[in-house]
Amino acid sequence: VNSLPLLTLMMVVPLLGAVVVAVLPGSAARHAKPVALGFSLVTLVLAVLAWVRFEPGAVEQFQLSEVHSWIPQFGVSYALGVDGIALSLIVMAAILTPVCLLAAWHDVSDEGSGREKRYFALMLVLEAFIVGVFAATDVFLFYVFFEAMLIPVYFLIGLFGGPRRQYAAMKFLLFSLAGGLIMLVAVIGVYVAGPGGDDGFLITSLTGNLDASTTALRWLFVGFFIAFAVKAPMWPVHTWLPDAATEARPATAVLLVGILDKVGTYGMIRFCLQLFPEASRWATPVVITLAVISIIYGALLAIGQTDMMRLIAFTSISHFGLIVLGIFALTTVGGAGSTLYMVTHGFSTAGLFLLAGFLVARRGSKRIPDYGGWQRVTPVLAGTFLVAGLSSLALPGLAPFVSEFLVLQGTFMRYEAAAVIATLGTVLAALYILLMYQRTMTGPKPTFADGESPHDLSVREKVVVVPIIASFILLGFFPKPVLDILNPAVDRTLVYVGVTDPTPTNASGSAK
Amino acid sequence: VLPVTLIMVLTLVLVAIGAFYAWRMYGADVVPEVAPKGSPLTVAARQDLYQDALNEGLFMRPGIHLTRGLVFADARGVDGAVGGAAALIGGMSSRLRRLQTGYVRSYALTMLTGVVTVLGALWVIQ
Repeated sequence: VNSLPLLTLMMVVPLLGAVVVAVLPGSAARHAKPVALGFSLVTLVLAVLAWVRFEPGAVEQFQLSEVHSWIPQFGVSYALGVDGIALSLIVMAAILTPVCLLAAWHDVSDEGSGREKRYFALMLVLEAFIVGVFAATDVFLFYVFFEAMLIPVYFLIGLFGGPRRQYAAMKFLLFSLAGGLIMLVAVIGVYVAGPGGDDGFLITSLTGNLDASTTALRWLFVGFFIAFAVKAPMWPVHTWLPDAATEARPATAVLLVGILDKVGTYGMIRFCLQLFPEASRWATPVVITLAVISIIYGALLAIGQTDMMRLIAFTSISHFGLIVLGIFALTTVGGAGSTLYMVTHGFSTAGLFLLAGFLVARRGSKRIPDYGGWQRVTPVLAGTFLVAGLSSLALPGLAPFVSEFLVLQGTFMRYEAAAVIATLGTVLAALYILLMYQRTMTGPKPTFADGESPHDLSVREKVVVVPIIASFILLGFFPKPVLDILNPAVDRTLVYVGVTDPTPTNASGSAK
Repeated sequence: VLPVTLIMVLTLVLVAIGAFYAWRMYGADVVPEVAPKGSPLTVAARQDLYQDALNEGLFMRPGIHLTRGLVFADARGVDGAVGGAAALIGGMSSRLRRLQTGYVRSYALTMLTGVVTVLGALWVIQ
């Protein structure tokens, strides 16, 4: 068992599942959804195996490694491997994919058209690419997955989304492609500046081995950073996200905003910080400023939204600002907070998007003013929606609180003003979440035209919600198992950047 | 030091005086049709010491204007710049497309213009 190429298998299984689902004959079409769910659950088992096999204290940077020569002429390898950050993101994706498949159960009506098969097959393809992009330890391979991911997302939004799906899908594609093409230049530049050879694109052979002028390296850093800032997304290149999130199906929005966008912040750690230490320190003031703007701007725009899905998208822009802030604070505490936040944000966004989706499925509208008093009609839906909201606003005891607190603390150690302003974002978070809850759920009992009030959460919907809320509570009270595998990876990154934590001003009393 | 009982009695007497005074002021009076204007303190007390007005004026209303303004600016400014750039390129493309008429004479004219431009440029440089 120990020699199994787990990471490759975690891509092969969902891809195989996608093919099986796509080619199911019309007579067996009703089995498409259970088959898709089955393949995603097998992937989850593989992810758990990977988690068990992973050793937090290992010497080498990447574990579960697989390296094969692919295009030696250009130094390209098929190289996979994970550190704690990549592994926790992959496990999160493996948990959330079956959850999303189950949530999307009735999203598409089939009637013999085969649409449903395609929808579920595309989600499995996306899962495979997500594993690939986080597991790639070859810069070129990472780039291939980074661009390949766009294809299933484009079709998931463009074929199965809301009324403006084509506009949203095209906008998503153009923004991502623009960022990706700038990154391609930087990817080639990295190879030129690196040691070259058959495996010249391996992260391990590039780290600390880039030979170019300071200016050139700074330009390469910028090339990577722009792509990741679009992906994350940060202000001012965020405008594709609200459109994509509101036009996509809720399950697609979760895969996109909750998981896939983490490639942006993950890439900042893996490529920007690790490959360009000097440029990272040089860019820090600008990045910190952009992050703080994103936090406040995203929160203020969330407050002003009347579309639930757009509101959730803007909360994510605010939270991505916090993640970037923690990364570029360049402290162990901030880094731990940011990497944990990537996981906790995935779950809390999933909770918000999917529960809002359940609400929309009942009322047929995404507009907040169309609701009111729903806690009297669907109490379980209202209660779980509130819990997901409270987790998003980082209520102590729920998972995002731990990560947000670590980010703010880690930032305060170096950039006090930025940390203070960022803290205002948490106040605004209370506003946008509680206002949304108040407007949709409280008030007099709504009347329904046909006299038939909508039913509360079904068994399937409860099964969707349970793992998400369990993650809030588990990681909220006991984040140690995740932090234990994140911390060594964060420490290692900061060693590459060449920074140490600032000494506390009153260090005499504490023995850390 | 006064004995405890005396203090208690004095306290109760004071309470009784206060109650009587209050009854004289308010209870015994005919209830007016319109509420009396009252001292500024009374007015402030009626308004919960203006805390709601303060909150609404200082935070809520500016906040509403700020978020509404930002939503507008985000759609028109930040996103508008992107959409505008796209529209500009699209418009330029459709104009350029019109040059492709299929008439040999117009292509010949284009080539002639190009030759003149190149020769002109060379002449200027030299």
